[in-house]
This record gives sequence, C-alpha cells and structure tokens, in this order.
Amino acid sequence: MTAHKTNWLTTILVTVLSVLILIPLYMAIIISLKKPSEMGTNLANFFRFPKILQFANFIDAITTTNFFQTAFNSLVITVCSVVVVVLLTSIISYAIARNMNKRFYRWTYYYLVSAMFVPFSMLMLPLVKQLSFLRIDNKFGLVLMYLVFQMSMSVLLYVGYLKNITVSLDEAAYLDGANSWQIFWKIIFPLLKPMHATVAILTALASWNDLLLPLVVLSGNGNSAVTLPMAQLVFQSQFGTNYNLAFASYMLASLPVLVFYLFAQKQIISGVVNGAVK
Amino acid sequence: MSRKKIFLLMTVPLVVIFFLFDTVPLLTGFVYSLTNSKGFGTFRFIGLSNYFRLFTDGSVLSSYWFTFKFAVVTTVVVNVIGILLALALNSNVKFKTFFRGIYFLPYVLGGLIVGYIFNYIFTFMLPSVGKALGWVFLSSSILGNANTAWTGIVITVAWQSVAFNILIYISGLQTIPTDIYEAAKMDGSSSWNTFWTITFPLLAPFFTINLVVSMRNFLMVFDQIMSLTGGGPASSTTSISMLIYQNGLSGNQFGYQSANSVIYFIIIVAISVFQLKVLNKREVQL
Amino acid sequence: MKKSRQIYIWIIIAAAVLMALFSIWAVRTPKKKGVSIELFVFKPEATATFQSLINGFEKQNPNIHVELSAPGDAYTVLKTRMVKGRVPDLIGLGGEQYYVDYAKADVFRNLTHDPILKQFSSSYVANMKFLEKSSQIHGVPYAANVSGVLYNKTLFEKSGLKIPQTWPEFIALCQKLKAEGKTPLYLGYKDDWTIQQAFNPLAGNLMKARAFNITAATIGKYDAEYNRPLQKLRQLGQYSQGDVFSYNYNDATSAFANGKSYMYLQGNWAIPLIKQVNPKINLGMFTFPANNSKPSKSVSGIDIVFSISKKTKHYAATRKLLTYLLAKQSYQKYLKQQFALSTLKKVNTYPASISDVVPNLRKGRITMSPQYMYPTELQIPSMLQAYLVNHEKTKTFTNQMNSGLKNILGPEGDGE
Repeated sequence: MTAHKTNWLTTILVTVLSVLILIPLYMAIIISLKKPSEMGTNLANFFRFPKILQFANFIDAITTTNFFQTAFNSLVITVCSVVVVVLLTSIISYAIARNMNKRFYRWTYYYLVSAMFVPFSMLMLPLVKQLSFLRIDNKFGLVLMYLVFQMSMSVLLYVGYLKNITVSLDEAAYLDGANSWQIFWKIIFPLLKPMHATVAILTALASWNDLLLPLVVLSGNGNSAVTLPMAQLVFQSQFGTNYNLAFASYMLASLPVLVFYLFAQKQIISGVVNGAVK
Repeated sequence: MSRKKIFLLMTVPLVVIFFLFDTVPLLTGFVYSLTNSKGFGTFRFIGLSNYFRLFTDGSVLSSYWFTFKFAVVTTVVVNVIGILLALALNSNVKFKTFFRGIYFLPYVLGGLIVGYIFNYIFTFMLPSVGKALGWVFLSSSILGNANTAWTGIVITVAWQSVAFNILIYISGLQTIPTDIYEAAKMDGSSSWNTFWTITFPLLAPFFTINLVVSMRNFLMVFDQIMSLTGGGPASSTTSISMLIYQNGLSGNQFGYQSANSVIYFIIIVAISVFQLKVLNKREVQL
Repeated sequence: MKKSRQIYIWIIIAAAVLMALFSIWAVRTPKKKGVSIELFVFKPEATATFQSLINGFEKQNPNIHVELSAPGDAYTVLKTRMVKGRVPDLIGLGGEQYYVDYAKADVFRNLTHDPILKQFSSSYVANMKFLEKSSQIHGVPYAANVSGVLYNKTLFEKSGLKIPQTWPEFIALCQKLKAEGKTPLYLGYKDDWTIQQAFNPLAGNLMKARAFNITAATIGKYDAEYNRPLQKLRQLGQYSQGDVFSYNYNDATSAFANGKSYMYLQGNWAIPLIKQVNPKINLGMFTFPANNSKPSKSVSGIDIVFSISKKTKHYAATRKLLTYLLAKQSYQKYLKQQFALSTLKKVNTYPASISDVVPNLRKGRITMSPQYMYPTELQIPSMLQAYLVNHEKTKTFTNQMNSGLKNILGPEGDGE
C-alpha cells in the first residue's frame, strides 16, 4: 500500500521551500521586537535575534494607532460585512443556481459576475458622492459597499457550489409542502457551510485589510470612525522612520485574521474542494 | 406565495442595491470620461477627445505595458509553482495540515503590509547579502533600478498570492479518485506520463479558474506597488490602477482617467472572456 | 434541532441589523453641546502640534468643539470631502497649485479685503497673489518655509569645513569628502518629490523668473533655460550615497540624522523628523549655492495656507479659531515645534538651526519655490525622476513637459 508510506523526499523539499515563506515573516517579527539602534546594515544583524525583546514597541504601537478603538471599529465593520455578505449573497445565489435555465436569472448571474472587472478608482468619486447624498457615508454605508463589491466573487463561488447540491433534495421538500424560503434555511443554508467559511474569510480579509474605501467613505466622521489601516498611515508620516514601531503594529493587525483563518481552515479547504470551480 | 415569487423576492432587492451602488457610479464615471472634470468644481463636456488623447499619452501606454508584462509573468509563475506545490502537499508528506497552514500564511496578511515587509528586504537586506557575497546584481536594491524594479513586484505579489492557487489546485487534486492512479500504475505509466495524461487534464477546470482569477487580480494590482515602489522609479512600475488613482484623484485628471478606466474595463473583460472561451473549449476536447 | 437552528439564524440577522443601526446612530449623534467645527490640515506630521493648539482653544472656548483631521494622502481625502459637499470649516493646505485649484473652484471664502491680512508682511501677501495669478486672495499665508542644505555641524567642525558660497566651492567640498570616502549628500529620490528640493534652488537661481509664469502662451518659450539647472541636478547624483532611487524620504532623513552624510537637501519641515530620530544632532542650514560666482537666493515658500470654507455654518467659531492660531502665544508654539518661519509683521524670530539662511531672509533675497508654479496635473516631480533615471536629454524633458502643458492648458484642458 503506497497510500500510507510517507514520501520523505517531498517532505524535505516542502520543508526547504517553506523557509522561503517563513524568512520574510521571521524578519518582520524580529524587526518588530528590536530597537531602532539594533537595525544595523550588515548581514548578521538582519537575522540576529534581539538580545532584549522590545515588547515596548507593541505598547507604543497600541498607543500611536489608538489600537483598541480603531481595531474595534475595524472589527465591527468586518463582522457586519461578513454576516451581511454570507447571508444575503447565499440567498441570491440559491435563487440563481436553481433557475439557471431561465434567461432572467442567467443574465443576472453574468451581470453580477462581470462587475468583478470594474476598476475601483473609476467608481470611487461618484460612489462617494452618492453615499453622502444618501447620508450613508458612514460605517453602515461602508458595510453596504463591501456587500456590493464582494457580491461578484461570492455569487460565483456559491453558485458553483450549489450546482453540486442535488435538486432532488429540494423536490422532496416541495412534496412535503415546504416553500423555497423554508427549503433554503432548513436544508440548503446548513449544507453550504464550507462555502460560508470560504466567503467569510475572503470578505473578512477584504474588509479588515482595506485602506482606500474606509479612507474616502469615512473621512469627515471624526475619530470615532477611524479604522486600523487608516490609523496605520502614521507610519508613513509622523513615525515614518521607525520601522520597528510600524512592523509591531502590522504584526498586531495581522493577528486577528490569522486566528480566524486557523479556525476556519478545514472548512475553507473542503469548501473549495467541493465545487468552487464547477 | 408561489415558488416563482419567492425566488424573485430573493433576487430582485439585492440586484437593485447592486445596480444602485455599482452600476450607477460606473455610468456616472462614464459620463465624467466625456468631460474635463478635475473631480470637483465646474467642468465642460469635451466629447471623445479624452479617449483620443489616451492613445498618444506616453505615461498611459507605458503603464499598460508594465501591467500586462507583470500580470502575464506573475500568472505563469504563480500557476507553475502552485501546481508543483499542490502536488507536493497532496502527496504523502508528513505534517500535511501544518504545511498547508504555513503556505497559506502570506495570503492572510494585507497587501500593503506585505509590500512594506518586502520593501525592507529589497532595500536593506538583499543588498547587504549581495555585498557580503560579492554579487554585483544584488548589491543595490532591485527596486531602485527602472529595469529590475518590476521583478521585485512580481516576487512580492507571487509570494503572497500563490497561496490561493495552491488552495484551488489542492481542491482539484482531491476530486481526482485515487483508483485512476492505481490503474495507471498497473499499466506501467511513468509518473511524468501520469501527470500529463491524467492529473493535468482532470485539473483543467481548476486551471481555468486559477488563470482567470489570477490574471484579473494581477491586472488590478495596487496595494503592493503602493507600498513597494509607489510606481517608480521613473514610473516604470506604475500599474494602470495606480495611474488612475494617482493622476485621476490626487493629480486632478479625473475626467481623463475615467476614460482610461473605461478602456481598461473593456480590456479586462475581453481578456477574461477570451481566456474562458479558449480554456473551456480545451476542457471539452479533453 | 431544526427549529433551534432557525432561531439562531434569526438572532444573527437581528444582531446584524441592530449593529448597522447602532453605527448610524453612533456616527450621527453629536457628542458635545455647542458648536462643532473641523480643522483640516495636510500635514499629518504636525498632528501633535495642532492638537495641543486646539486643546488650548477649547479651554478658552468651552462651547466650541474642534475636530482635527490630518489624514495621510490628504489631497485625495480632501477631494472626496469636496465631492461629498462636507467641506471642513478651516482648511490648511500647502501654498501650491492644489490650493489654487480649490481657490479657483470657488470653495474658499474670498479674503482679499479682509483685515486679517493686514497683520501679514506684505511680501507674503504679494506671494499669495502671484501664486493665485490673480488679485484675489482666498487664504492667509500662515507660515513660511525655507529649504536649502541641511548640514551636520558636528561633522563639519570635525573636518574643519567651511560653508560653501558658490557652486564651484560646493562641488570642491563634495569632491574632497568623496575622496576621503565619506558621503557628502544623502538623497532619497525614491520619493520623487524630494528631487524638487534640489531642483528648486537650481531652477530658482539659474532660470529667469518669467519662465515660471506658465500659461498657454509661454509653452516652449523658455526651453533653453532648463539646460543649466538640469545639468547641475544630474551632477549632484555623483556626490550621494549611491543607489539614490532605492531610498525614500524617511530612509534618507534617518540616515542624515544618524550622521551617515554631511549634508541633506531639504527644508525646515524635515527638522522635527530628524530630531525625532536623533534628538542630540547639532544641525544647521545654509543656502544652496546654485550660482557659479554671485551669491544665491534662498528658496522660500508658503508652508501652510489657511482658508475658510465658503459653506461653513459656523463662520464666527471658525474665525475665532483662526484668530487663536494667529495669536502670539499659539503662533510661536507652532513656529517652535515645526521649525517654521514667521509670516507675521509682529513676529520675526527665526529658529536657531537655520541661522545661516537668515541674512538672506531678512534682506528678502529669496526666490519662490518653482515647484509651486507648475500645474498639479503635470506631475513635474515624476518627470524629474524620469530625467535622472533614464539619463534623458534636456530636450526630451522639455518636450515632454510641453506636450503635457498643451493638454492641460489647451482647449481641452482648463482653457485658462
């Protein structure tokens, strides 16, 4: 049985290559733990682990970016976006997937998916104008925007996945007297779990790390509407020369999504496996 | 309520929202492309002259050249490495889940942050490696040279986005039933042959999605360039998205760059449709 | 089982809706009683200074609340604010074409006949008119800047170096240092705007002032004028740390602060950052000796222009804030912390670290920064970078500039 024998040659190869992934991350972590004076320019200095770990960098990073407030803002926006995107785009995808034989739904599908190719910078100013006209140039409007911009990708993924869920499930439920709405919530929605995880991580990454959209949508709403990436702009200006501080802040900002990914990893892989592309 | 009505109720509200907040601004942007608007203040309609000007504008043409060069090269790099690593990670390696986790790490970080990390590596670390080893080509930052800066961007973006391709290919490999391999082995097929006659054809749909999605993402590259080079030196790494953002918004050429966006949109859609057509045809033949 | 799952889902939906409503409420509810106004400045590096000034103002005026916005990428943010129609009440921009663009778009209150301008020294008021190319003024020239050659006094004294007065002396000094294996200049040309800090004094001294009166009628007329400044600009590269397009403003600033180079081409605005990196540095600034034999003029511009939004609903409060910022105590606080120069008649002290340029400033031997005269759309810094990177001829540079200007000033552009 070859299936259970470990392929050591490939294991070694994969290990060696993973160093390429880890070196930049290692660099970023040790920079975030060094003092500016320990940076140096010779080779040994770059890889040397700092003698005293400067956790003070992290504390400074927390105060300069007002971390707890700004990260909370980002978190609220991210969580709302994920919930809204997962709930609403899975509903529309279900309707589309079950009616692909009708022209209206087929064209809706192409219409939504083709918007993936619109350059954002073209939409930016008209969009900002519209949002402020409707008085939703705030966190609510921002969440709405993530719904709109994530819709193309999510619909693509959900519809692909739904093609694998046999229609006979629906038919049986219809015979039992259920309507489409009930079928979706009771049968389909739970079955979509792996794809929910995938869509959730993609949406979370897009909204948590985003700078441009919050910068233009939220500007003018005062300090209560500053997201973490917006606050991190100080590392391009006032604190532009302090790489250590900046990297500490970047590491700190990456932690939540990392944790989220680790929890959802298994679901994501099986989500993509079972029909991301069909 | 009838089945039909419920399905409509599920679809229409969201499509309306989408139309209002995606298509309406797109159409507004198109209207602006016919004006000399700076993005604020008064403006005049100037017909199609923005569009004519695009084809003679050196900075626009060079940004198209850079963007296509970058997107094609990175798409190839990412897909070759993606397939190889997916094959490796799908074989009987030890600590499979652990390695899958490691290889996915870069994807979780933001594009700007990855750019800052690599900017530090290219500017300070690699030159010192180059000097220590006496390698001339590494002894100065590759980002500082107009001929090599784009390779730095390829490396950075590939490093980050290869994770997505690996993920998709692993998914693809798991859909291939193992008994096909067993059968091939019984027939005495070499592993090279097995790859080209069995694995690769069965991966075709995954190859298609990877190609289309990577190409589209790379054609729209923005964050990593912003933090790596800011488009320089001498605009050699200014992608189309960056040009539209920088000149259109900070640089007051809003109307003109809107025209650029329209053309750009059409080109990206055309490329994607072309890719899907060609690749789907190939899939059918196989 | 199924029922509980359904309930669970409805809880999620309800929570999402509540959270969305909460965020609308949180944003729309004014936090404090009284009037709330917004101060927008394009200098994120001066956030701390402005915040402390605002704190002082709020203490004096408890019923006025001031919100400070000093975002990165300020010009894009401001543009979206204009588009939104939510223009900040008091706006501080650099004295450059961005300001002029907004002034022309009729966003700012016309201050031409406002008595507030009387307290400014007349040369800066004249500068404003020159900048706007009109007799109308839409802002107050709050503070001035001066750029030149920042130098490390400790290193200069150690090597017994004298301040060069002419271009040949400057080059001789650079050559001497280079021969000793030292770095005369640290250039951070990765950020293309830093190239202007070398180009400004060269162009300002070596070109006719008329050449900067850029209109549709003068395109191509002064091409030959660009020869000398561009040649000298290229020559400077030889005396740098090398690989100049790899390092940005921040890298170069911290290198100079840490004593890695003797000199640094920047203005007074870089001093706070330098001192932040190395508080102990003993630095000075001298005039960039662009001319071959005669003394050169210093480059000085308006560092920050404050304008009042035309649409402000709280004109009185905004006016009060501006007056407070101009009051002697707060004004001097700004000057001191930002190492900026006074534009007021009543204040004429200069920061000690720029003492070598003060004689020029007092005698008015100054030239306005040429960079402020080119239209925003032209992106002159990027063109200068291309000139250096691609080893272009002057002709290539001017041809490109002219074709850009034709598009901007011609019939399809503004048609000014």
